[in-house]
Amino acid sequence: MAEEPPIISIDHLTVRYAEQEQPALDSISLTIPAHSWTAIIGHNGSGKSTLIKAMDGLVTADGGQMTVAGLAVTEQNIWQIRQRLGVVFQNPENQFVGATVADDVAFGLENARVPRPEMLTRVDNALAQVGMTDFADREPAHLSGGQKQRVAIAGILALAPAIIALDEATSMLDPQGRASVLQTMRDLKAKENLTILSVTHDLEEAAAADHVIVIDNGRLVASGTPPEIFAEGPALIDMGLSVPFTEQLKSDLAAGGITGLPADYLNEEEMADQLWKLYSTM
Amino acid sequence: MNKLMIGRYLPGHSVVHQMDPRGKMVLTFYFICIVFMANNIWSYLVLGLFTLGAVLLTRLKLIYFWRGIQPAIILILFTLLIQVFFTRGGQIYWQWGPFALSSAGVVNAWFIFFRLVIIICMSTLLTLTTSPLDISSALSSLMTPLKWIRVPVDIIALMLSIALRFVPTLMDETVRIMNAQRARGVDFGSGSLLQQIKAIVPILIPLFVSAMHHAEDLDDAMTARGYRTDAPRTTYRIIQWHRRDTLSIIAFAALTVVIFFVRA
Repeated sequence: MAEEPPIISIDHLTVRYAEQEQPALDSISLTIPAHSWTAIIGHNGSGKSTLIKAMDGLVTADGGQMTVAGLAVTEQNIWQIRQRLGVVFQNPENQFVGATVADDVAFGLENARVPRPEMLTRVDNALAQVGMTDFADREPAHLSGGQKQRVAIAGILALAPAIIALDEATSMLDPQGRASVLQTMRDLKAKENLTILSVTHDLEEAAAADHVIVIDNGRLVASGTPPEIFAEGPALIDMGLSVPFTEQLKSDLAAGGITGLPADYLNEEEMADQLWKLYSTM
Repeated sequence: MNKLMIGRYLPGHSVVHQMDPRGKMVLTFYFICIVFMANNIWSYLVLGLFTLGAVLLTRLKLIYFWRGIQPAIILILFTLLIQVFFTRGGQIYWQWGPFALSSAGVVNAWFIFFRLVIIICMSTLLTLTTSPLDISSALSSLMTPLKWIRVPVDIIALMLSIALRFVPTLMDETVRIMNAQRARGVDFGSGSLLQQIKAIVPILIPLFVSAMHHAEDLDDAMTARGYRTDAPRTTYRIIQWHRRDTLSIIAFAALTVVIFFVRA
């Protein structure tokens, strides 16, 4: 697949927000190979979400060039690009436009002026692909966050894009929701030959990706396969992926002289249990 | 709160539930006009039976209709009293200054009572059997002719549907904000009226800010999915007119004819 041209190429992209002195993205250049899973990692406010928004024309570039799915990102092309690049955003609530699941999946198709008979089959197919067929008539208030994100994915799939960008799409979900959304994406990538761009804080997800891009302070810090990135040491990882909250808490407690917590990784519930135990022996 | 039946929707599968919401809305409005044509006991009897028939067709428990009438009862009684004491005519049973109890007054009061009950029953029937989503689709469909005078009907329809879709979201948020403010010591539902009004401010401001955040995100999500206000769109959700809707129009036409014959 090396001979295939990259599906996304970005050349010296700079984005500046009006109210900020420092540019959100500072002369970033990168390419994304077609049919790959690329994880983009970075601190909050590092500019990784801005990168996705710039590709989709949701923020305007102040300099540099971008090509997405064979089209230069320009005002003329942007509506075509939006059909080839689908974005799943962070908050499940704020991207559910339709009154019911089926209506929401149809939203993008309505915008693309797909005739109704074709729309019906495409909505059904998309819902089947994310396993939400039984929920077609449900209203969003009766869905979990993970289900809403799967509906958002279906809404994008219905438009048959080449690239799907996940902009921290799993960060507001519970562990089950997160797992189900990621599994759905992995299955779809294999089946539809998609290119996946995933902005994430999840270390495990980044480790499973084909490529990892680390962004810090609006600059590209590193880019490579997960082993290459992880080999560069914890400094780089810390730069991109914040240490999990429980680990942070553990080291802060240790710094304050409270020791005795197990050394393994604990999730929040286990952490709470351990803290109770520790507290009762104090 | 739960007992308030105004605007409540109860899902069901009756003929009335399945009717075209456009037809239902227009016919309900038409029915209210017809009610004002009734002027004797026979015409009210016909209207009453028609309403009863419609109510029974919904297969909902009658208690729900009673709950629809309940909040209006004081209004109805007040109107009754005014009618009874200020209408003169026929035999006068009792008189004191401007007040009089006359046979015409009593008859009139009964008619007004029936009129209000019938109207409330019919409008409760509309909201009980039509989901807010259907009502908004029906409204936008009925507004279609306004396109000729350049009213942005599609945009209004989408706004309406998004507003409805976010009602539960913002309700949840209100509860969360209230709990957060309670945890900070705000006391809701006690104290003087002024204090209670003041307690609403710490709910409204965060709610407003959060609504703006929703709007910003939603804007991005809609644009990313290709929504543009300056281009035509196709529609997924359509309302279908069935034979039962034509039949209901015939029923209302028949009702009109009967009322014309029996009214005085």
